[in-house]
Amino acid sequence: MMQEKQTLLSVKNVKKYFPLKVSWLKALVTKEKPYVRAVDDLSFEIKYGETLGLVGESGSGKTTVGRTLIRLENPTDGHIFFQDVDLAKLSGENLRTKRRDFQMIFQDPMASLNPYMRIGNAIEHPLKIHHIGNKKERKMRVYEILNKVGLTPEEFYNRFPRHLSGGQRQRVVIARAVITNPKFVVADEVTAMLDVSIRSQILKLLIDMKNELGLTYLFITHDLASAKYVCDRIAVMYLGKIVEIAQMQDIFKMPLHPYTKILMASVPIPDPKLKTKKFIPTGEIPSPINIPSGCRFHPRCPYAMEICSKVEPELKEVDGRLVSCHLYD
Amino acid sequence: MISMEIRKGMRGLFKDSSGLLAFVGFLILIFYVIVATFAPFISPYNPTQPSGPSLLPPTISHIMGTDNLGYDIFSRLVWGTRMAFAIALIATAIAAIIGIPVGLIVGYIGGKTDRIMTMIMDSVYAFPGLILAIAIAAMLGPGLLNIAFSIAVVYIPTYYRVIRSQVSTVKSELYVDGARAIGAKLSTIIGSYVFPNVLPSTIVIFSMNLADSIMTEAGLSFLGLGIAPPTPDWGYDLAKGQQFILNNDWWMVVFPGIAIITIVLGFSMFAEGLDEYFNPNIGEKR
Amino acid sequence: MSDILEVKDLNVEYLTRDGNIKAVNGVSFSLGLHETLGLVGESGCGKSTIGLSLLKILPINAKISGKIFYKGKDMVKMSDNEIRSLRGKEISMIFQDPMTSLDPIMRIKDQFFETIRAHFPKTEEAEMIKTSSNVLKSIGIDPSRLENYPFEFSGGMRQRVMIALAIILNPSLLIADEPTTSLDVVVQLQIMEVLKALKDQKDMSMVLITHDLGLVAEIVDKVGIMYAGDLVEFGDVDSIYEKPLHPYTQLLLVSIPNVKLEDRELRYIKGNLPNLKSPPSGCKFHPRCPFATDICLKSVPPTFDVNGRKVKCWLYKGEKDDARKTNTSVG
Repeated sequence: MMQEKQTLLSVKNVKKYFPLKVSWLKALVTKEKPYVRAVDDLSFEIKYGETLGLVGESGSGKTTVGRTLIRLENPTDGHIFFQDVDLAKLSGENLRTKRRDFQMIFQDPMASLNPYMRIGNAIEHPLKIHHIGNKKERKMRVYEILNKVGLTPEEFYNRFPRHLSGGQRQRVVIARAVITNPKFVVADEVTAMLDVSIRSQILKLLIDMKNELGLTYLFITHDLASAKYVCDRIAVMYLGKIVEIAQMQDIFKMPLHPYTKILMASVPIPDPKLKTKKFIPTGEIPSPINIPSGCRFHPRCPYAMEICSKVEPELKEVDGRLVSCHLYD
Repeated sequence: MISMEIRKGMRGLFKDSSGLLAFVGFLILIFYVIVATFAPFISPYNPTQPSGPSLLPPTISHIMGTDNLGYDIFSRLVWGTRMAFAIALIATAIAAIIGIPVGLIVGYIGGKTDRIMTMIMDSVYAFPGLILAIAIAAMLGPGLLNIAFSIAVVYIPTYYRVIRSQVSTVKSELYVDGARAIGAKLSTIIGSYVFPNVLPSTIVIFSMNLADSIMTEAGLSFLGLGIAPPTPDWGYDLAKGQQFILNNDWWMVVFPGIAIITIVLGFSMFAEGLDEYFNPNIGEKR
Repeated sequence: MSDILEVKDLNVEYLTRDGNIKAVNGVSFSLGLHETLGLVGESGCGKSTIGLSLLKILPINAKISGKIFYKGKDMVKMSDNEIRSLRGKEISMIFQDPMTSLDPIMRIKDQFFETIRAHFPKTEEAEMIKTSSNVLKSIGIDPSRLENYPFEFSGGMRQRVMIALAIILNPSLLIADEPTTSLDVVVQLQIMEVLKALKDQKDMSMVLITHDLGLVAEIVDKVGIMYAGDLVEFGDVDSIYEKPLHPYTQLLLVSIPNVKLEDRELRYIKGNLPNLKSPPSGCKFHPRCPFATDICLKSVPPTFDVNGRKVKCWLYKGEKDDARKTNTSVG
């Protein structure tokens, strides 16, 4: 209980720029190198046992954030304090052995399992890599975790991924992610590729695993509706920046940032009688190569003012949450 | 039970022409394997000693005739099957053993190493195969292993190129990211996650290379750079027969020629069929 | 006959190397003029196969039987030439992926021209430009962009172009197969607005194929729920969302994450989607159904009429008689 107040992960000014390929001729002429600013100066904290939702459209950089936090990408700049260790500074063997403490579940369950590795071996592999237990203990542990994710071990241990449905594969991926008892798990759009009737099953499993194993999640999604069921706090991302970060209830009751409002309005509601919402957003998310000046959202914002195209707003506290918008200056 | 399974598999194979192709290729290869294995029982005469008058046209006692030294051509062809297989297998194995690991490692690491290695491999690849093999064979001199090695050098780039390009797609797959995320070492990632996923494509090159290397070996022997006579060898026999073609002694050329053509056909048809089988985009409908 | 489309006992089977797949299983429904139908279901339920059947563009290993009456004529029996004269002009289709459905090396303009000329070969260029511009304008794209190539459009804009291409010849029936699935949430809503506007402006019937019950709620008139090749429930949109009859529909509706509801309790359907190569006996939903009884295991339920709605579930066996009784008493 004491732990719950403490910070597990503290992200400070993390940037991830991907260099763009330029022809060598062009590189001779222009000195400056073009970048895709996928993640641009991000700071947030996640507390022990908390689930932080990271919500945004594709191209907002949310997946890059997840990949950078668990060091599948090297951050261009900034710090990622995990407990007391700065993950941004780790490398080589130190990083490799630390990896048992943080994991990622990917979006596409069809692509995230090695097609030539049996389910049992795939789940056992993290234990083997980190030299946990002997052969017999590891097998016991795999059986145990398979049971936990709702797959009968006898039936699934020796199967290959191609024999499993999407939902079953995602269960395997979850089992594999939590088998080393990590403290922190990044769940990247885990239900996006699944069928509607399977999605809620997997969300429920994520919640159960969290309660049982004391996990902390970064739940990345484009779907605010599913974030509502899983997250304690929600951070909304637009073009590499967080525009609003608040308690889940606050976001749903009263979104402050115009972009959050737009996202909320775009969630389809399964009720033909609710033909009321008429807040149709215009335009599409621009390319992160040419980021608009000032507030990144101003070209699409229905409330844009003169200042918005000139000055980039900063995350400020408004009513107990953080919002970056000139409306609340 | 098992025969049922086999019959089911066969029916699956025969459903489209590619399966039939592979099957015919397979039959040809089986035929030559049997010939090679039972050569002592099949060949009527000693292939390295004269067994009758020279330049005898096909008769009942010498069904493919004899050559200028009175060797029985049929017996030489039967024994020559062994040489063809031996050289093809050794050469292909050497090429694979060098080409595959280099392709795997370079492909995964990428960057400058990749650019330099690819440049080297491409320049070897761009060189006409037979001429390269001739140059190396001439340097190394005759002998089974030397010939096999000079042929292997020609095919290393084939493995390298195919593996490298496959690796560069496989390495961006999520399961490779997953392996990195669980803290797998580089060797584990390449060995357990990348290699099994590029292996199917190598099987196809393997059988294509077998066909190619038999041709190249025949070419080398034809030019006198192959196995030292009188060891039975198809290419050598073909080359020798060529000198007598103007005398209308056709049998010295035709039979070795047919042998080379059919075994190469066998390998390439089999390879083609395998390719269809291993390429999921063509194989699976829906 | 007021129905533009009437599908009767449609069966589609895919013949594959390792066994046949019954993708569509005795599906019957009808669609009136200017009506919009939402065909909803999960992957493998056969909804896309029905879409393809309506244009007769099924893959070669598909075997189709049954009847599809379009304006009273059976499409299953039509010759290839007859069908071709319908495609694009009478019936047209929008596909899921706008990135691959447009020819990448052709200007948008030329793709429009090609479509027009396919049916009206002698049309003047000036007239084609006029028509194309008008269509583009009607769905919110500046006509000057006719000169652009597909890669110069964003995903949402490309889907708009696809829609424009589909409606340029004023078809009577538009089939949209997951038109927004590959798009972002915000853009998804924009495209749905375009479709909604189309529905209001043009005299067009629409079949919207989707997995998202929430998305179609506000635009369709009728809903067909599909499960493993069966049309398990069919009726008008309000009654289905208000009082779903089939257990699958009921469970599906409560298991969709909903932003509007206060509670955070996740409900879900247990089990997995069936394998169509070896589907469960009897009712295909029975392994996942909380109301399953012996009869559901043993025999396939027929389609019952319940107050003008169709439902394929044994639970409504009794009510069928009731419905008939009320019908006869009224008659």
